[in-house]
Amino acid sequence: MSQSARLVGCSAKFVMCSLWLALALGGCGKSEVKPTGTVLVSMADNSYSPAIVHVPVGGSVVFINAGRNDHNAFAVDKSWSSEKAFGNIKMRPDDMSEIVFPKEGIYPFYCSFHATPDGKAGMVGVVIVGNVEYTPPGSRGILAAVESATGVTRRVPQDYPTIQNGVDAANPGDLVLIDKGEYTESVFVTTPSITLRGVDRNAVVLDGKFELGTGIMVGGNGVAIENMTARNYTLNGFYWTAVRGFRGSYLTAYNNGDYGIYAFGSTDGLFEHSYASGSPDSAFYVGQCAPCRVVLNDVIGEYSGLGYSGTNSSGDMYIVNSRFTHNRSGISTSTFDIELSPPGRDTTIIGNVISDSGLDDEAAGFYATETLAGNGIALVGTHNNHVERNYVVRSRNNGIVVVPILDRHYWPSTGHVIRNNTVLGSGRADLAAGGFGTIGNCFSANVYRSSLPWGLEALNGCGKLRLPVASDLSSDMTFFGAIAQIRAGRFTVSDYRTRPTPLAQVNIPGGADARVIPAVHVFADLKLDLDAIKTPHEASQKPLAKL
Amino acid sequence: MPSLFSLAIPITAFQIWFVVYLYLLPFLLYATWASLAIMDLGERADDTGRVRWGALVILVPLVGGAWYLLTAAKTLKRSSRFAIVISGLFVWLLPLAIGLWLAGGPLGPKALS
Repeated sequence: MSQSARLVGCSAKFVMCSLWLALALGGCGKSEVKPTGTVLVSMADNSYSPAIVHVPVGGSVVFINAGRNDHNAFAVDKSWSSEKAFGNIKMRPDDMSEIVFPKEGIYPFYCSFHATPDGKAGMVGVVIVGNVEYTPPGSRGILAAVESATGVTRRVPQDYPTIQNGVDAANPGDLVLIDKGEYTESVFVTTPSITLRGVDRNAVVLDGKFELGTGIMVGGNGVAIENMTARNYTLNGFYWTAVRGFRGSYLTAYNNGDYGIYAFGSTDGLFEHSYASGSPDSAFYVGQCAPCRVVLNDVIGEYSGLGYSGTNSSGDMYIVNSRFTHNRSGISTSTFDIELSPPGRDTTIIGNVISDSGLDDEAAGFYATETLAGNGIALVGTHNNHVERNYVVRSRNNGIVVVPILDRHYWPSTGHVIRNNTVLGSGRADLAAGGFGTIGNCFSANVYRSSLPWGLEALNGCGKLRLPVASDLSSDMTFFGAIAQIRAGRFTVSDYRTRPTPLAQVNIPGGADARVIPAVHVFADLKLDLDAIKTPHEASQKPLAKL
Repeated sequence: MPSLFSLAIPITAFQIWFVVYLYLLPFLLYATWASLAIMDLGERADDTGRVRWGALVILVPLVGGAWYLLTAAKTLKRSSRFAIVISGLFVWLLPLAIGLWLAGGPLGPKALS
């Protein structure tokens, strides 16, 4: 063999070894059993979120310890545990464990450190596998939702000492009217079609004292919550899970440890005239629904990791006339394999103000939100979103960015229509697209000054011939750089527990005497007129609630 | 104007690492290897395969130029050609491997939620 050939051989080996090293270090090529669907359950201190999860037969649940204490998950019937799957009874913060469920059934579970072994008290949850009818514990069997109010009002604390007592006594169609006061409780609603209303949005306060998990969790269809505040919970302020029909109106949620106002696996709903701030994840979150038939209208999300986040929320999903300011990132639609029904798709974002994203340290946050910090609107691995007539200004990095995501699968970001937005004052680029497979997106009639790659709108106009200059890799590299920085622990976020108190917010018109309308066929009753929504400007919207 | 070299803000060592070494450097390598290869093609005495090599060098970024320099270049000294390609690969792939190690491990299943 000649010296030249040996050198070529050595060079080739060097290249192959380097690539192999890169792939090996990057974790590629690992074999794993592919479940048919996966749902993430966070372990907080001390509750699970979501506490009730549905997975298909053969699906899996990934438990992640998102708290500061050790946790675990044991089936009440002893059929599975995180100890068996993880190899240690203690799951320390950030540890993950995946449980696969091959058989249909209902699997109550508990944390052996923070609950009773019968799964009835403390940190408990339920996995529902397959199409099994489930009745939450404490409920009065399966009650049907009703379309009209009964006219019955159950007053707290005059008739019932606690909100939970009032809720437990209510029948479908009743109103639970809550008087002024501070209520240190975590309420679980299973009765359908009831309305919980505070007499004064700013003076009816559920306070978790940074010890309780969620302010009000709803597991019954058609439940409306109106005119009250939830603060200082370790997880969520207001939370609907696995329901059909919901409404949150004139709600305030601040300084809660995960989400402010939150719907998971729920359809046919509305969040309106509500305010959320100081959530390290997102102020408003809608996850895992297809078709969602959910609307956010006239909401304000501030000083949070994300103003709005939607993961795998697809179909008839609307965010309109709302304001997301001073968050680490304004709006994110994303796809993850860790929730059911990927990819996220068909979200419409019209007429919103998104400003000051990632520009100050007043926003709460946690490691995950830092990867997207500084973006006004981020479409991450989702499909066919419509982003129109929004006013996106002062984003630390990108005003509107379209990027793929690599989870268990690679999800390109495609089919988005981005037009007629005003996008200015971004630190990196007003419009940006990145990554392999980021194709089929169009940009037209936006008011902007910079794009990456250059010529993004000129070469990818809506309804025009599009040239193959759809994206480059620089946006991805900035994300990877952020991830590497986070993995190295080189980031700081503000503690949600110390975020300032917002100003008083507007009460529901009519106050305690407002008409009671159960939250059934909410979406059908809305009659959205998207064409009537104009591009807002900062001055034309209500002023920021100064903290 | 977009920020300098497409870097995200704040510009940290990690951003420079990923954007400069992993994103911009391959463009520079492509330009360097292709330029040297085309210069060599222009100066070589025989015409054999000149068009095919030229197409390979231009249309197959990085690989075409490196392949030509390693196996077919005539006018450049062999030690120079190998030094150019090997050192180029080294300064690209080593940061790439370290970068993948830094960013590729589990960060949590909702890292980008």
